[in-house]
Amino acid sequence: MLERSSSLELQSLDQFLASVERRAFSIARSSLGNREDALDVVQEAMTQLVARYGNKTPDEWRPLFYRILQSRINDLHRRHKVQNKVKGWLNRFRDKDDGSEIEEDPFQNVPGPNATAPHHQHETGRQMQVLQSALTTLPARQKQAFILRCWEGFSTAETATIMKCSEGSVKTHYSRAIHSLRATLGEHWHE
Amino acid sequence: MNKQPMNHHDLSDAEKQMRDVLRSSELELDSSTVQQLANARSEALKSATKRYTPRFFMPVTGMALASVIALVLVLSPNLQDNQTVPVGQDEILLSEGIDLYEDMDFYYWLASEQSHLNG
Repeated sequence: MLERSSSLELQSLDQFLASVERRAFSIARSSLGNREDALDVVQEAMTQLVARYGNKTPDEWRPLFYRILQSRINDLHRRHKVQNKVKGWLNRFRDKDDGSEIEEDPFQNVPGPNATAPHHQHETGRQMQVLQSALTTLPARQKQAFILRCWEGFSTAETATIMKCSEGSVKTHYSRAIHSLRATLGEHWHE
Repeated sequence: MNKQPMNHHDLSDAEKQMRDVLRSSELELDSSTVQQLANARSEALKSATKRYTPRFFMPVTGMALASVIALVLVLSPNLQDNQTVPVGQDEILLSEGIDLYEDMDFYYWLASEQSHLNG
């Protein structure tokens, strides 16, 4: 009986994680600007959700998962800041670029099974690129509020819980983010 | 706290456009990334069978164990100092008995003298 309920729980968790993994990865990559880091962060968030909150109800998983994901993203940002400081300090003592390049595997860039048509993909890719560069100009909290509210579709209350701040702060961050993005995208974005 | 989900009709056209672009980018993931995400999910689900122990568990347990050991070490000499070892009556009798056997010759002599006088 216990094994059966545990198996059902695992099945539900699998379905839940499958439903959020692509978005979680895209959010993490957008926030961190690095594919490998994004994959690591998503795996950590998945593992932590399963290990710590697997016994919660499925309705609770989504905000908990994004809370863990945002927390891991923030941790990695902090770690990168320290690493960059150390690297910058070390680079003063190193020789300049030795010209070596890492070859990319061409099969890595093969589109997935759910990929859209090439012309649409190109247009979306261009818009995504513009939006992505606009997002990088936002302060961290504004970016976080925008991602959670607009991209993921959380309510103000849920976003406040995930960001560990008041609803008023979420509204302020989100409104400023939208204002900045509209100002930045104005000339590139066709409505 | 209001737990109502976000109503997407509240979004402006620009917000909707941004959301659509962001969401459609999720479908553009390459096959390698999709596979790696599936592997990550599978690894995460494996951890469900392992019991979760919080990060602070080991240090806290270690500290508690060290405190108990320290407490035992500190208190144990006092216990030994305060202890009074009871001496058994057999031991007293035994020590008196040894004296009795050592002076046995004297008692024989005394008894013979007494019987001699009584005569």
